[in-house]
Amino acid sequence: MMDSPILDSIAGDLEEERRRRAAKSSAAARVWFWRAWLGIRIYSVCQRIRDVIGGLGRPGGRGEWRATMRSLASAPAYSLTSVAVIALSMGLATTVFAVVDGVLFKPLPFTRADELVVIRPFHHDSSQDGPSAVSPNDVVAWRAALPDVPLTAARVPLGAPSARIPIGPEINALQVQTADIDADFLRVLNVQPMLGGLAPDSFQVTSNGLPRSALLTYALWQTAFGGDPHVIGRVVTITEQPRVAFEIDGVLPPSFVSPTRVDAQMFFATTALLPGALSRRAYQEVIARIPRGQSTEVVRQRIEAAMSSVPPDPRAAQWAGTLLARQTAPYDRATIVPLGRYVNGWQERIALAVFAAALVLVLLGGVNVSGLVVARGCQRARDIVIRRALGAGTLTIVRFVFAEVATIVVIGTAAGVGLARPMLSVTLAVLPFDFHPLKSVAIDWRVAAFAAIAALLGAVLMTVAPARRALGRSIAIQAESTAITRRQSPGSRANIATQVALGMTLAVGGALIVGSLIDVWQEPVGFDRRAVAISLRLRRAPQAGGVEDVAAMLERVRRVPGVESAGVMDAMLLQNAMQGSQVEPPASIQATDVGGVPITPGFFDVARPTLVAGRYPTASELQAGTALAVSSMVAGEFWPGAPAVGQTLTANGATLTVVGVVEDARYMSWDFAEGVIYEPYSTLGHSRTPNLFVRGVHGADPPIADVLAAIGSLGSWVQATRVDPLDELLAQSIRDRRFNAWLFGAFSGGALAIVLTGLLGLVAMTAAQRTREVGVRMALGATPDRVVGLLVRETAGAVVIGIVSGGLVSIWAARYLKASMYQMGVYDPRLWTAATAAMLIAAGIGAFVPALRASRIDPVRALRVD
Amino acid sequence: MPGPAAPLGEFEQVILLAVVRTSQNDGEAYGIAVYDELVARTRRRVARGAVYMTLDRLEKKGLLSSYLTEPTTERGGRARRCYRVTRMATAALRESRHTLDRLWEGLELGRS
Repeated sequence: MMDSPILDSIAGDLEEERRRRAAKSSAAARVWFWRAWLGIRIYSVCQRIRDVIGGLGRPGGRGEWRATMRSLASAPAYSLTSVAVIALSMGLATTVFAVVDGVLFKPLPFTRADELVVIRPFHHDSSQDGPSAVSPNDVVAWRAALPDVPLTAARVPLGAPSARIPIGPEINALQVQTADIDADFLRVLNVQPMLGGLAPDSFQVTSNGLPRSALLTYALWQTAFGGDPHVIGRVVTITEQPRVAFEIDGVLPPSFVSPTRVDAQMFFATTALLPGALSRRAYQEVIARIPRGQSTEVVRQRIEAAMSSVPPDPRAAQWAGTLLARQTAPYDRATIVPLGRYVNGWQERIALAVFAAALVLVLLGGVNVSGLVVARGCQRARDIVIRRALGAGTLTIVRFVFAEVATIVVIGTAAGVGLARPMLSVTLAVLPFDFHPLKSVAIDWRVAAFAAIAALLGAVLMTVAPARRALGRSIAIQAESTAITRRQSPGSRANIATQVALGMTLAVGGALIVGSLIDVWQEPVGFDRRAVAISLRLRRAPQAGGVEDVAAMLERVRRVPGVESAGVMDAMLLQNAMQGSQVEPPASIQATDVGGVPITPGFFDVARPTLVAGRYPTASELQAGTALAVSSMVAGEFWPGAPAVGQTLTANGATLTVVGVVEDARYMSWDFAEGVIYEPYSTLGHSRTPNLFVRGVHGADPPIADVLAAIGSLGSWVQATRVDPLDELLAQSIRDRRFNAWLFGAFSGGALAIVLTGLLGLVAMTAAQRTREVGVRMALGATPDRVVGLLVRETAGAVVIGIVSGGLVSIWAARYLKASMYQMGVYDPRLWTAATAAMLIAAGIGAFVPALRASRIDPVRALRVD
Repeated sequence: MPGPAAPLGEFEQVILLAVVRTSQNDGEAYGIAVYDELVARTRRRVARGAVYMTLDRLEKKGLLSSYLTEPTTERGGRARRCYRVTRMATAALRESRHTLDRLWEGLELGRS
């Protein structure tokens, strides 16, 4: 097959020709283009296949491979089924291996990586779980106490990727996770940038307006800058406010991985790790290199001794109850964790479990294909008997069987690795943010080697059973001796029941998780999703003049051409967190957990929540703080059985009238509807996490660059920190759910296909063993449908037992999936209908197809089988 | 990779000659131009895939070399891959021709 640069040139040629032809008819030109393109691709694939098959038939193969190919071509249903199962299970296993390789098997790519550790402090009276919120004061104290242990600190922002680099239209900017590093970072890790590097003075520039120095990972350099070798010295401005400019001073080598728990792609040189520079939105990790020969325990004790010298930060009281309080308080205990375990520790068990599940599926697939080969061996008994009669020895028969199995496995594995590419793309697109493999996830030589070894072992294992049968007593004699009375053996039925039970369990699990995701997708979110949300940071509280400032900003934004409406809501948007309301519930309500969403005039014009009763508060009512709206859930909770419109509530001493009831909204997460009080922004008293909602005219994308410029022109009191289309935020809020659905969906699909093959093989084998019986029955007048009924009935009992026992196991196992369920319970009739139908269809096809084949046999031929 | 003395297949010769002709006429022997020249001169239907695969194979054999032009919008931002025959190809073409000439020398085939 041709390489991708060649294919690219060919696509260019065809595009050039298409444009020429489009002058006459653009539709015909398009048809021509696709015909030509497909023709070239098909030609190239066929040529490749011809080369491979031709190669197998050369003298070294002694014609065996050609005979095998002919034999497989003569039984296309058998060949395709076997290849499909191997392809599916190998595709799944290869994809999983590509992902978990970096987590389980790959060592950290640093020199003497075993010396690298993370120092995690904690208080003697608290758990050591949670982020290592190391205070900058701690870093200084530890460094002074351990002059012989190189030590570095990296500060990583919490949450989702923290910067956007322009790579096209502003709204499509690339989301990048950043980290701040100190001057010892590269030295401690012993990493040399591939291009450029950081000079000592890079770490002295912080806030004098000069761009910050940054190192890029190799992947980011490739993605955002096309691997441009002249990128060093280039100044780039992050697209959102504050518009931080950074100068690219270096590119890290391809093998580099971020030693932080979140996978950072850009590293800013900073002095902000020094005392005094605190952040509520980040935590610091301290990485040390303990030279070989030094005791980890001694280092730990020295750190604990140094902890006592760290004075409490005088501002600690100010930040009581926040992460910052932990950053400012001195610690008194330390643990030392190897860097590899720190980065990947939490993922190891998940990765191991998923990998084990994938291997089980491969094994099951192999066993079932082996069963198919055995069944086919029964059908080809005469062929094998003739070979033996002509003097074929043990080795020849084994080679005969192995050639067939190996051909199936090689083609299936190649197709599986091909299938793994799109599966891997989907997997990477749905991976949770905090999944952090230690190598770039791709189909590389390690993955290819895994597939090759798995294929080789699989081919050998799959040959054992069919070869044993072929080498044992003559299959024809076996068939004869068991012909008249043999029914499915208890072992076969147990095998069918076990496979169906496993398939049923996975089908129920898959249906539960995927169905939950589909249910979430179908949920109305309670607001218009076409808007864009811009997170704001207000430098002074909007008390007194603050409200007017925000109103002035909104006026300014609304004047931007292309903006239809704009409004502010002050709540953590789609971050799985709820903020309480300033509004006091009615006296009859003891406690409530409804969310408060302070809003400015204009918010309803953008968000357009569906009105259930009444109307939206007007701009003047919101400005005066005299009216509010509530969602249905709040109305039902506060005033059960009575109309909510017209009721009054109080907030900060003011009385507000409920003028409208709207549908419940999903501001926390797409999969969580909350009761919301839309209260006037003016009653809030202080700014929390304001978000500017902007809508473009006629549903078009709003001109974000102009809106940001308008915000920037208002002065330093307001800064935009993030820009997110609401659709994107909604999708991100259920990222874990999407990942689980993909994982379970893929495994369930794979399991169903494998169970189907298992049944095909087992029933086909039974049918083949009973060829003579079928022949006798048909000679005595049995009709084909009676023969089909006989064979299917024998399988049906085992299938029913499998479905029932699988169902019971599913009900028990569903408790472990509770976190991923949404509205759908384990007793949901849709779930059981879908899972049972899937199993019955798979089992039906598996039992019916070989039974049908058996019923079409010529009685005369069947009686001559021996 | 075969040495310079390796005989050329018939289709390989045709492709190499089409590359030479296209280079001499238009200057840039890229896929479509070579294909058009081939069809016009040989007056036979040829699969485009065969042309591209043969160009690729001849390059791997060292009988062609290729270079990329500047990407253009007419080509959807892609570059043209243009081919040139190498010295090895020129020698192989000459040798093929001489072989055929020697075989034809003194032969007169009657009309069948």
